[in-house]
Amino acid sequence: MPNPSPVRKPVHANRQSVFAAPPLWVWGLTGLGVLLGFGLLFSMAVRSEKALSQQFTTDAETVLRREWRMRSDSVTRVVVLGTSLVENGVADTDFFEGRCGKRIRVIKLYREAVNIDAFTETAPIFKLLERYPPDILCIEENLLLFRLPYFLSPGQAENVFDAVNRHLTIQVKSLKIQLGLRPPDPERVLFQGFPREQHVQNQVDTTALSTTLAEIRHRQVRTPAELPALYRSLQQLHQSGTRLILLHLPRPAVLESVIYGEGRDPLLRDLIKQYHRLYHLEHWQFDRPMPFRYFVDQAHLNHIGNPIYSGWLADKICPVATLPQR
Amino acid sequence: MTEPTSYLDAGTLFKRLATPAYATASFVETSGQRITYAQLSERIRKASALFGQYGLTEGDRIVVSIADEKETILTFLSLLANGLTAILLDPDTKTSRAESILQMAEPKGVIADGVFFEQVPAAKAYSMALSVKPEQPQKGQLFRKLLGKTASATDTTTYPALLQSLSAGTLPNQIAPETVAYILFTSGTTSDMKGVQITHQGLFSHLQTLSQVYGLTSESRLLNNLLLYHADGIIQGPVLAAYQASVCVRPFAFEINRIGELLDAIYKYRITHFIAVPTMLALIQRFADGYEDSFQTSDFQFIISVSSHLEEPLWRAFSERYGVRIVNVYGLTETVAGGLFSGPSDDSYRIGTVGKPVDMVARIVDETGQEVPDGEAGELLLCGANVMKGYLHNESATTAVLQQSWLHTGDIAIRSTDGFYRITGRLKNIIVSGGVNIHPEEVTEILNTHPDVVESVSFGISDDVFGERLISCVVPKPGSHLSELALTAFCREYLEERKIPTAIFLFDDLPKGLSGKVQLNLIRDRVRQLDNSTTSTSLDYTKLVMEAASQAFKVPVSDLKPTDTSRTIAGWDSMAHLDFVIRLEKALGLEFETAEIMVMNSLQNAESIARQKTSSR
Amino acid sequence: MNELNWIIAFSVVGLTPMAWLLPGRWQLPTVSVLTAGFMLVASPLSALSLLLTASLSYGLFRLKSLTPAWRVVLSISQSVLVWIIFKSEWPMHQGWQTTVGVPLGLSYYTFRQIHYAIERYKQTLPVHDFADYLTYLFFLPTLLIGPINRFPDFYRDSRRRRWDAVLFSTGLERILYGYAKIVLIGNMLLTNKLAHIIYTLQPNHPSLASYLSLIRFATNAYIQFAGFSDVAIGLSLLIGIRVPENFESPFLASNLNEFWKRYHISLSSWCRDYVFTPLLSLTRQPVLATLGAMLVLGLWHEWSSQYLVWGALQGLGVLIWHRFKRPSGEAKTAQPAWHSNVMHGLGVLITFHYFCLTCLVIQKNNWQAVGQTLTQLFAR
Repeated sequence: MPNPSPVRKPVHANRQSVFAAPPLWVWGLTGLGVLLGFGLLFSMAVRSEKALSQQFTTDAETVLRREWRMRSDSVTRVVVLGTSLVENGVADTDFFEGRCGKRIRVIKLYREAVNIDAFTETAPIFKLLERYPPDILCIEENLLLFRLPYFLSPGQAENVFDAVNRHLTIQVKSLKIQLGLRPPDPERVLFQGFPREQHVQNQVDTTALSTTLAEIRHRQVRTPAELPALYRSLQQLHQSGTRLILLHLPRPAVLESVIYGEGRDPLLRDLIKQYHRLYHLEHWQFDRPMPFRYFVDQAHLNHIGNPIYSGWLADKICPVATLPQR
Repeated sequence: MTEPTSYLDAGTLFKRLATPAYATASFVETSGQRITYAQLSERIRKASALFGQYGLTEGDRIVVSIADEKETILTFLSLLANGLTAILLDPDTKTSRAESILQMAEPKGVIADGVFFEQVPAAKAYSMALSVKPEQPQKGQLFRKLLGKTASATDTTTYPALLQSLSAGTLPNQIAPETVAYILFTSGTTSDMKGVQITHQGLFSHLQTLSQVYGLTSESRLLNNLLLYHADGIIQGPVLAAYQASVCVRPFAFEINRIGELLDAIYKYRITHFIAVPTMLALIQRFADGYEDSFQTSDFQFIISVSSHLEEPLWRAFSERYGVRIVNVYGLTETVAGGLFSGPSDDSYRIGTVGKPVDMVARIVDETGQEVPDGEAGELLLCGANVMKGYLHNESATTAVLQQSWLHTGDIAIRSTDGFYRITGRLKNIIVSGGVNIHPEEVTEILNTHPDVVESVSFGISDDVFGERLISCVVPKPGSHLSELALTAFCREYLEERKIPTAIFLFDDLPKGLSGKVQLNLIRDRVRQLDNSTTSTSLDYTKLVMEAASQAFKVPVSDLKPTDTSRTIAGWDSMAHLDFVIRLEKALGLEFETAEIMVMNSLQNAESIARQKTSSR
Repeated sequence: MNELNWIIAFSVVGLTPMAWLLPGRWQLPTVSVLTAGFMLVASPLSALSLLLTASLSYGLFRLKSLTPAWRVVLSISQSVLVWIIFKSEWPMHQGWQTTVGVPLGLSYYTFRQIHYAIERYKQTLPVHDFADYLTYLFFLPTLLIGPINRFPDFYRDSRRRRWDAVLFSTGLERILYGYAKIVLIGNMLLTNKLAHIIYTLQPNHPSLASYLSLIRFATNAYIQFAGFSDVAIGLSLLIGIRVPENFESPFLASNLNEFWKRYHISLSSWCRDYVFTPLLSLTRQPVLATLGAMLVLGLWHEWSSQYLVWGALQGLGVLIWHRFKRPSGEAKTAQPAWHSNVMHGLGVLITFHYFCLTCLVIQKNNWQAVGQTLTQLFAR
């Protein structure tokens, strides 16, 4: 009688993959390698951020000192300090000169995705401003009103992945430019904190607001006593005759209503009042509701939004500029 | 060839196991505990010092009767390594039998549970009488260490605690090959005690044979949860594992409601060889739906069926369903464990046969002792180094089976022309029920001692699951009020649980032939009729369940409560569980699902399931 | 970090070490407790809802006063009730709990509980206790991201789990594959790059763009979900539990019936066992049983008319295939090999496109948009 040959099914009845899984030490080694590589990238990111801050300080000093030395030339010097919102929202100085018909120079000092620390700690911009005070200093209101969750220094970064990611993006981009795979960025003015990827899509996905909304909802309002070093600088500047402006930069109307809404508005109003009372900060609020199509994304003004906003800003600045027309 | 070309002897083996190479290797794993080879080596060396203190010398007989498995294994191997002869006495052995074995075997010492010394006071008289108190696995060692507490002082008068204070002794370098390694008493009447003596040469040469046939290495992991006081439990388990420095896994005793768990153990413990008796395979085949992939692991090699006849239909069905090869082993306690093997290699594997002899020579002879040609039936005779030395102090029994170094197996076999042996019947009066050998005479002997019994006869009837079941027929004295239950209770007093008849029938007389010999065939027919006519028609569930339980567990109905479980009823083991279920099925005229049978863990439960079952039809 | 990352991180850092370093009998219970803790932190409502439904679905079977039929009916009803209440967003419509939303993993564990109740009623479950049942439900790797694994499988694996380096490595591999599917193929290629391509094609080739967008939606859904299943299987393997496969190259299926045997297997087999078979044996109407099963399959995803229609379309597809399929075994040898290969290839193409097309219903927000896309696709 023939014997039934024993059935031999595959080794594991529910064998999980086509390829034999590697021995565990391979995973261990790979994990270690990834960790080391990441650590290396991270330390590189820290160093390059430091270098950038250094560069920013040096450049800012150069410009401010140059402008200060020329202070007797009857040009009104306006420094606009802020984040990428300033970069995209405020036009270059020619625009203002043309608009006002006065001798005016607008100097944009901005770094992308930062909070106030970027101008007080990582780069001592306010110290420079004290030394070379401008006629008008506009500070983006977000910096003083909210405890923004951004950190410039990767050491403080909430997410080390973001820091490394940012660093890698810059490195890859510069490599691409070097290899000729990508045209170099158009020559831009100073204080280019972080090159931003050009937004290929001009279409804004207005439905995917949840992340942004969550960020806005989580924002905490500052109190008028938590930045003593900065307040001292502000007082110093005030004494030097600089006019201090707390400058509002608009977000799309939908978001704007959330930023100044939900019971937060009174808090903000109060804070703004306090700032004015204590540190002579005037608040300039842009009142016009801006639709999404004026923005490149959910925050930054585009080629339509920028002139509208800058026009308004020019209208605010021009009367303040004390000097006669050319 | 009657012997493997070379094998390790005890001296070499235990020296090798003590080397650092095996220090952390597992020897025995149970569900909660693990014995390493280092622990084994330490134990046998300390035991050596202890035995030295008692002045024991090679070949001295020591009775071992310990319920705790770990202690049994360690003690057996300690004796083996020190050249002492272990007499394995099942802790279930009844007092009278234990007493007669002690008397007849003339041991130099006893290592047994405290209960044993209470029941057999004579055992205390031996110069070495060690009362065993198993070491409890210490719980919360870590916390104790953290809290700086030391382990509580151990009792140094009990074994093995008293070993702690001893320093390691030295093992004998050489143990004479003819020294008896161990003695196992097979079932038999008190007048005809058969203590099978296996020599060191016999044991170790056979261990070599077994490990060669099974292809054992130090990577092998044997699953064997058979009883340790039977050759297949101890020899084809821990001893065989030690021979190759393999691992023997004994997760828990076989129970019908833990079959799934047992099958899962094959994957969980990376089992390579599963040593089982056919009854276990039959139960697995019946109750393990959904476990068909159990043997499809990367480690598993084959099942080894031992102890009793593996029915061809079961063999075939099981192999096909589980996709696994079953190696059928033929052997007797008298041949250590094996002798003929069907499998694992293709050239020796044929379903329905016991394969071919390995390291033994086999002959088939007729009543006159003449060898019969191939294809004809005759008694199977075996010759080899693994054949026993003889029965202890029983010349007549020895000469009856051992003639000119040929062992008369008492089994009838046929050899095919291409050399495969098939067992077709039995000459000796013995029945094998669930892998356990029972001499019906032993049971008859006990029944006949009952004052109200005139005469009795016991025999086996075939059974799908157990292979055979023991049946007794009794003729009570006129006017006596004997009942089946009373007789069962009586048997329980004098017989081990496994030897108690599954049914006792009361007759007015036993049919006899002209010679006055009881005619078994006629009685068998009568019994069969009676067995089938017990079907009841009423549907009083409680009564039905109670009746089935009473019959299956051999307990009077009056003693049963609905809340009784397998823990509260002595006779409720896995075998009886099935009996219970089948009786209930018969009574109700239906068949339970596997899951239903498995959850019947109390009488109440069984009743409600029975109710549901009938109402859902 | 998003939900998936949290699950992976917590499973790898929290559950896996506990599952191997603790003494044997504490390992899986600890995994359950940690899972419960995770749920409590992530969403207390989810934890409570799971605990409540789990307790009821087990406890109802312990009530001696109920008949078995009542037990199973009540047990299923309470699970389904909770599921419908949250899935239909009824609390939201009532103006309650607007911030809570749907409890995490609700769809998965509801269906697990129904499976458990029915099997318990059928008495096919192994002997177990409440703790075993909770271990099955409170198992983070599959709790929130599926698949709908079955209790007997889980229980058996929980009993025989062992440390196995190969299995562990396979688990890590599966997580990596799954993550790559989600992040590289799903998010990067299909969501970003292909979307960009479609966007640039839109002005000049609107039909092509619509077609690609259709394909993109269906394949992205598959890739993302298959990735999640891979991660769940991988994480389970890290703990030593083998969870059944959920996808078997469904887009290579040559008919819709086969497709649903290879796509989201745990759900489709659930619908087969607990909707199709009972309905069929109850009514003896295959059409009804098929439609019923597919409607449940659709509604499982979302309690909305769109998914209802989507499910009905799946059922319709299966029925059409049944109507026109060649009786098995007939005339297979009469055709040359190339013919059957071509037919098979054609079948694969048709099945794939039918599925993609039906997904239009759930891709678009409203019926008008569906109509627009259809005209764009077929008008020219």
